[in-house]
Amino acid sequence: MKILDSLNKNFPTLDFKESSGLLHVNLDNIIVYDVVKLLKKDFGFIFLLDIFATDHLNDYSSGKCEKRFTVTYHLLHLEEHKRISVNVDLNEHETIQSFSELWLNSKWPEREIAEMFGINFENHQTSKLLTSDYIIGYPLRKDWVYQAKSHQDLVFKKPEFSWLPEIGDDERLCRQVIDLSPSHPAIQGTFVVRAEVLGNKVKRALVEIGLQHRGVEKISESKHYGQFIPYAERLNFSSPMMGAIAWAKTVEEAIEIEMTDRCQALRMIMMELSRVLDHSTSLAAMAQDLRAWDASVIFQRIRSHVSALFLSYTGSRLMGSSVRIGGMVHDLPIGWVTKCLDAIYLIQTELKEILSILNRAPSWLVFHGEGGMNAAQAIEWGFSGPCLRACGVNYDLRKNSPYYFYQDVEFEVPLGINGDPYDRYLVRVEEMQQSLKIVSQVLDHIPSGSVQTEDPRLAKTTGSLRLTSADYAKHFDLYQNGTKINAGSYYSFIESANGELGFYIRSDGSGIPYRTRVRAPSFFHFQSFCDSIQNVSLESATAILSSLNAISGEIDR
Amino acid sequence: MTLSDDLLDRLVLTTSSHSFLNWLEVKSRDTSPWVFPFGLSCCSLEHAAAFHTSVLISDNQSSPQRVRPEEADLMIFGGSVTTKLLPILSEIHGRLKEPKWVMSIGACAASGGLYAEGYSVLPGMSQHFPIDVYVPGCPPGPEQLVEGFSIIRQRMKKNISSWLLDQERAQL
Repeated sequence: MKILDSLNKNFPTLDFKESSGLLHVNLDNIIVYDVVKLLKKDFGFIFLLDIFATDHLNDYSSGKCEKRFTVTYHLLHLEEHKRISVNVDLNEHETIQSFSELWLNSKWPEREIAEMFGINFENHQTSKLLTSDYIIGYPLRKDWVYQAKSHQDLVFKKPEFSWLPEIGDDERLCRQVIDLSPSHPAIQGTFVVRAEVLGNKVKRALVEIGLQHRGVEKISESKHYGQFIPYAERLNFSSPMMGAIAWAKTVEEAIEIEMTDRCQALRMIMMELSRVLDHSTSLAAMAQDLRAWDASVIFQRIRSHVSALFLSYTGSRLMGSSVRIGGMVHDLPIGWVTKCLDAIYLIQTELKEILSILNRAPSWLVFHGEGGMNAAQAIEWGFSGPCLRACGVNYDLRKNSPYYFYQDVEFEVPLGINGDPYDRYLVRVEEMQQSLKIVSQVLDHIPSGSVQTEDPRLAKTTGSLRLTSADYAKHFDLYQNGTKINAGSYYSFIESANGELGFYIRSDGSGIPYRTRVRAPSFFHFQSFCDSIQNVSLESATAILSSLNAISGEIDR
Repeated sequence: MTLSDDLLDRLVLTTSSHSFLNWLEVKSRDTSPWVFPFGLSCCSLEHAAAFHTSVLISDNQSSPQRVRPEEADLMIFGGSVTTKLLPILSEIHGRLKEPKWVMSIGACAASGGLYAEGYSVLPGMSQHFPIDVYVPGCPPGPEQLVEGFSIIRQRMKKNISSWLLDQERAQL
């Protein structure tokens, strides 16, 4: 409340409100830049979480609102853990000032808005970020119908380096352009990276993303809240359960239902196991890229231990889809806890082996010292999760805005110093150990009871043993129309393996979301890649790429 | 002891080096195919996991993964193919060594899967280049991958490839 009071005192003409843990303010297009600048400089909202837009076509055409689009800025106060949502209403041909001078990480979200909604930003790049020229129009507008060119016209334009006049002719002849992808054998996904190298040093780099753009946000606008869970799982496919739980948590907070204790504990176990899965996948890729085959195989073995646990709980090694709105699909099978304890012991043994191999290996150290990043830069780029903590910023949502039972378990938040790939590796390995600690604590005190809520809004029947016609009607309604959320906008988040994974839902009161926005951590991490590999060697560039853990499913969505 | 010309003719087969190497390649292809993995998304994770752990370890040793498509007999691609990615994938398929074998992993690569209703993901790759084996699943587990791999090997042994059939059809 302290911040809200001081904001209201300092901006008497503006109306700051607080609802569901998020501050809201509506601003006019003319003053937004200055107000946000003041919010950053004087009020401590130094972290730009996300920028996205919404199209209010129905309200606009029926005359309920004057302007068609809303551009929303989510800012975060790192000390008070407050989030503010700044909304700006716009019409089709209005332009809005770009924030790229205030925050480095605003470039890609602004390009995405321009591409998806046709909203123009002042002095921004006109090229498309996620889709190719193949698709005509602005896909996320409500009145967009699929329109595209024929497949024969498809060409992929590689990003080209611009002409730098200050480089001399001699040096220009020595510089070479190298394609680091897309046939890169790393297992993390697909993006195009071109590097201009002089000797072994990368001088400039360009990236092209969107090769895995699957249009999840558009698909969500035709799905019930429960039906979106498989898509949420496939965002960050190396820790699928995280996305599903984050989505379910957002919807549950929006309809204001409390989960049962056992469900919360179960979700904590699944999230921490997913964190182990994600970190071991990313470290396996990192080891593979740097030709540390033994370490890669050990990390894959850790991964297979966790996958076996998921297999026995959900029936699938990776994508189990076992999260539901209002709980989990079923309880733990008999004997799962013993299996899990065994797996924890095995993973801990493997981790010890890894640490003894890698921590002091010169071949591992030599590529990992370059590309360091300080805390201010990391915040400017919108880093979160292990990459932010490797720079020494103690920010973990499990500690700072705890959800479920995270305030009741003991664990530490590992921090790095230099923010280079070696620190990220150390932070990830330590986080795996802390996650295992959390899992064993939760398993010791796992509460009894049901794993699904008995809230009448989500229950499939009325609860009587004999099915009545009211039961059938209710069941039909739930499956035909979905769970309804009151009109409004909701935002919720979890500390996923890569950082803050948040979902923004705008509801119009029906069973399907009006607009969904995924706040994906990798999208913001990968944006910094071009700048952070300047003047480092090619091997270190590979190390930086794999240590960012850029998951293409999350970057392109 | 000196060998008579008669004995020499029976022991030694004279041939050109080119045709000998070609014979060797055809004979050894099914037991050790060279693989070009083109991992796109979720399915490629399972593929990598299967190749690194004990499940496919024998396959891993006999069929090395190549980074250049020109060296590979078999392309394995898994994950959703978007319109932006299609030109790259077609180019890589064109660069594969002839005759070409292609294995697609997962529902997205086969038919667009969950994302087929969206605007970006293609509903399957079969109209762009011939595919030999579709491994179903979202994502398929290692067992399915082993099965798919063994089918590819049988096809290699008999020298059957969808690409070859397409070439023959084009000549007719």
